[in-house]
Amino acid sequence: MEHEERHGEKLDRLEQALRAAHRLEPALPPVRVEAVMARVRSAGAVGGGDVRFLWQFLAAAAVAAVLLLGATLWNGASPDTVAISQMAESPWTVLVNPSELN
Amino acid sequence: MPQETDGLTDSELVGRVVRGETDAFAGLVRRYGPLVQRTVHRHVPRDRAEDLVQETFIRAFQSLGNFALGSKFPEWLTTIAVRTCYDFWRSHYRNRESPESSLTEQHRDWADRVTAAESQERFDREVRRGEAREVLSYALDRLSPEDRLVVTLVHLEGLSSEEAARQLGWTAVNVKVRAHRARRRMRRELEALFGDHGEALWNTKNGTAKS
Repeated sequence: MEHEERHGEKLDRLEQALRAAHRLEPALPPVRVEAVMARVRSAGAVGGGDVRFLWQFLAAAAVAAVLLLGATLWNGASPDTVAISQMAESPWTVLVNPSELN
Repeated sequence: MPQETDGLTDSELVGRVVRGETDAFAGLVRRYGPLVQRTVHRHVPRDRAEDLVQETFIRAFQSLGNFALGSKFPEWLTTIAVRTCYDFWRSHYRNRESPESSLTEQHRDWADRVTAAESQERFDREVRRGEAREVLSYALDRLSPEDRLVVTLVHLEGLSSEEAARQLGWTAVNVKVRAHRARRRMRRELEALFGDHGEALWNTKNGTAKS
């Protein structure tokens, strides 16, 4: 028991030393602003990151929806017709008898 | 050609950069270079730090359009720096076969000296020795990139779970749970390294060496 306590204390002390070592501030050379700027300039224009990506995604989705609608109409079937024809083939039409509803 | 940017606020500088004045970004690099450098140096080896400092600024520049004007630029930048370091470790771990650092008898002796240091002065002297950083790097090297980062932020730097969560983009609960487990793992690594040896020395010093 006493041995375990001593062992734990030693580990605590070691951890404390490592924490202190981590927090030491080493003398660092100044940041080379021109080197950073050279890379920044070659990186291109400022981006909007995620927001810009989101707008691009939404625009692409809108274009795809318009094209799909156009293709459907071009084939002579309006979205409503497609929906009604699908309903007619649906198994629910068999299950519901209108006379039973009264 | 350096621009006159000293009198401008962070938001004004960001606004200029977003409007196309790329050179105004140099003002932010000059202002926050030391902050990014300190952050990056705490997470990655010295020889990789400069490259990652530059990488941080490039990422910041590229996503400057997402920065909410009026919020704190240094916090936003620190978050990018920490995530850049995280990405570095993830890619580094993917490309390595096993942990690279190793320890010698010299490091064990250091651990014995620092844990037995009776005065604060002696303790501080030992902490400043190169062995301290090498042992730390050895222990961290044996953790996953996620554990490594969370141990560094929470246990070594003393950030709260909420602060660490903000920097990592995780939930505070996730940070808390991971920090607890990661610390236990690191202690196990240290124990495996110095446990038996330390015990023998401890017993010898106290005249109770086991046969």
